[in-house]
Amino acid sequence: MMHARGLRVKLERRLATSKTTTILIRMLSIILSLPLIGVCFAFYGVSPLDAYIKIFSGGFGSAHGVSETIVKMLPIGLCAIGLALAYKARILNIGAEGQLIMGSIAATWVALYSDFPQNLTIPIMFLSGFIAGATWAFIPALLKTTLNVNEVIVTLMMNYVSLNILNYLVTGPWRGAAQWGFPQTDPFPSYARLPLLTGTRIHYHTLIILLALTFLFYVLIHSTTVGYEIKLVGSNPNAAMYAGVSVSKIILLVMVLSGGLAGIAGVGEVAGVQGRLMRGISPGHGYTAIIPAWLGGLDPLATLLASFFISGLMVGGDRIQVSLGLPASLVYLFNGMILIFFITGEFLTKYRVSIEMGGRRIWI
Amino acid sequence: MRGIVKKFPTVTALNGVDFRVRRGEIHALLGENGAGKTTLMRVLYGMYRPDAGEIFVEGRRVSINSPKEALRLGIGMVHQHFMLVDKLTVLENIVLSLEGIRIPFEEIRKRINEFSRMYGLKINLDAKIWELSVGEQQRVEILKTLFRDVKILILDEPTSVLTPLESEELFKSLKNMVQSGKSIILITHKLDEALRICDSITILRKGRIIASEIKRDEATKLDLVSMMVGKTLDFKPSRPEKAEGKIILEVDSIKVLDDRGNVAVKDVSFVLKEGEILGVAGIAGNGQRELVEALTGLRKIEKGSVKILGVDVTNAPVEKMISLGVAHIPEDRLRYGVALDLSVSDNMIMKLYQRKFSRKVFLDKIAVKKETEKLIQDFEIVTPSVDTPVGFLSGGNIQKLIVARELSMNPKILIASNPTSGLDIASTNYVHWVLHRLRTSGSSILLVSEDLDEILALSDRILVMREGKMVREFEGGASASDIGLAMTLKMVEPPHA
Repeated sequence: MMHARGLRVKLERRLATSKTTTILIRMLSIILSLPLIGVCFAFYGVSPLDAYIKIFSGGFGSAHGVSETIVKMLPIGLCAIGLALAYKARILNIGAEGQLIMGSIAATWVALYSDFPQNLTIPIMFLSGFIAGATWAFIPALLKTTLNVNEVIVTLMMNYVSLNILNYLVTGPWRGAAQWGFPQTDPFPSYARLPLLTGTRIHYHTLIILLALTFLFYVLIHSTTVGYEIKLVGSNPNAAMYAGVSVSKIILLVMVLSGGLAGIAGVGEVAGVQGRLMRGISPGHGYTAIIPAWLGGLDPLATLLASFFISGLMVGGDRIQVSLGLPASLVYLFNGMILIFFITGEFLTKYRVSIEMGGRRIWI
Repeated sequence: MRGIVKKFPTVTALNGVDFRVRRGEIHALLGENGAGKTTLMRVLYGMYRPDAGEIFVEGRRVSINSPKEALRLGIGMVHQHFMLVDKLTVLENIVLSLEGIRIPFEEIRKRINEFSRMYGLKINLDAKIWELSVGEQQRVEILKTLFRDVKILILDEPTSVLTPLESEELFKSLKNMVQSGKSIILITHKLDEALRICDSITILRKGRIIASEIKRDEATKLDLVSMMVGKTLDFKPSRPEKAEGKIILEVDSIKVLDDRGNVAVKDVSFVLKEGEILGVAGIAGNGQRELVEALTGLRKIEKGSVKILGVDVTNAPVEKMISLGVAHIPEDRLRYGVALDLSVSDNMIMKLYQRKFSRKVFLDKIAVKKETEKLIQDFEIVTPSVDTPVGFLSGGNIQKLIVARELSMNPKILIASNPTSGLDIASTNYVHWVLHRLRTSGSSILLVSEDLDEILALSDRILVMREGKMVREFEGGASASDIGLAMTLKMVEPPHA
């Protein structure tokens, strides 16, 4: 048969995708997003290369930078591994932001307005943070399992509800007496503050919790019957039903765990970083965490690594804001760009593209 | 077509295939699943480009690079899965298929009505696609190609979605078409079909031509089977002996609704005894699906009761039914039977992960792997590895996986819904043999099937289901025509406009 002239592009489904190919494609898609964001830097009259170097060295280039990256990774990572679990069951929780806020509110109540013994305060703060976040996630989960209400919309809307509760509290009943009208509570007593690693802002209790939970979730997903049920529900809920799995139970479970982890992230922010509850306690960590969950392919370990990476970019972004006078939102743009390229790249893990030109064929 | 070769990344689908069709004949392209029938026709229709080989149409060498070019050469194809827009009308779908050729609607309407009359393809042009039966949708697909003036019409397994009655109508239309000089290529793995309506037969096996252009009167069924399969069949189900076991499953006047809330199963009662195969015959859509789902815990029973060994299990959860030893081969294997992006081994343990493969809260992965490998071997499932996602397996192998899994439960009761639909002859025989063996070992089987031959070959007793009711019961040796009559009696084709 004759060969057609010109360019022919064809897609063929990959029969199997090796781990190395998958990882290569993911790395490549991140690298390919760099030139595009470079254009944005250029618009501000900044050399893109200079900006990249500043961003990466800001987040990863020094001991101080790395320690700040870890501080950011604590809330982002906690939210992300929780979200990854829910996404594994194809329950699209967009509400980590609100669940985090509810966790921070619960911890604040324990720190400032309760009479627990002082030496138990911190464990109770973590516990109540978990419960508050879990409860906040339980509501959309219950609506989904009983009335089949879309969880994306409910979790998203509940973020705004929790944001308003926070703003009401810090400008109203909980506003600190000695805060000159700032929308924040009084500082926590020292027994309600998380100790920091010397010379850094890393509240290591939260770090230990994050690492332990990452490991636990890894085991849960890969080695337990419940993890198997979660994967089954995520892949085909009908088949899960047919296999005798209670789909509702799984939905409630992943949402409660997912929300609980976001709640713990909230505890870390008030008790570790700020030492008080304030307006804007989370600069969107719950939303940012969606990115590493997918970047990590919903695997807890990979999600933790991706959280570290994204957190580094955020820290680097703060840096260029100061040193190059660029708006910090450029970093959000950067993050968004990476996610878009990443999702596009995922397509290539499922299909291979052949380009034919003048009888020659190139496989991608 | 001469010397056609088509290679896919891991297999050679066509290995030097020659194929010839004459004007004015119905030509069967016969072969088992995966023999390369569809691939060969997709090459002819311009969907695949062959790696080697030539195509001639009316003696002229042509290069076909797209379906568009195929249509221009007068070659049309009706796929197994229809390409229609549900929410548009028949007429609108036909206009869409014209790809920008502008013809006034009224002109189109006139010409289609002409085709309909000429070939006996009745259709209401203003009906929306979703309102039509599958048979009618197929007619729309055929009309689409006729409208493009095709000389060669390829039909890919056209009867697999049709009721026997609809198939008959289709065959009549096809005969009319060849009389007016068109050629028809019928891709099929059904022997009887090929023998009944085709003028000549070409057999493909594993990407090679085994026999070409056998005239219908020269062919015998047995020859064809051995050519398709490559070996003669060794399994003939023995005449079922009468089972007189105790009652295992007792269904008492149950009522079940369908998805739209209409009564699908009306006041159905029957018993299933130990060591028997009870066949449920009937045309699809007469409540069989709802009955099976109700008996396996997937659908609510509104009225009546179901007992297993005297224990009431009406509306028991699926989990409970599984633990009582009820296995289920579902009719819609992709909807219920498997999770496509999970691995073969993950799919293999769907029914037993709680009972057989759990150590406290953990999954015993070593045992899972061992069991999966054993079942893959026992059931001759073709898969690169136990970790391959099931979505990469062929339909036949997915069905084998489901059968293997359900039987690995050592079920007391197996509820099998069309267990061999879409399987090739060898796999069908294998499944029949397995069902037979299961019965011999004392389990009971409720065999719900649209394939009357299958029911007749295997069942000890046969119930006929029609319009949600069990209308008659037959003994195992009953004649097919009696049962067929009971299945279709009072079934009147809905009138077409």
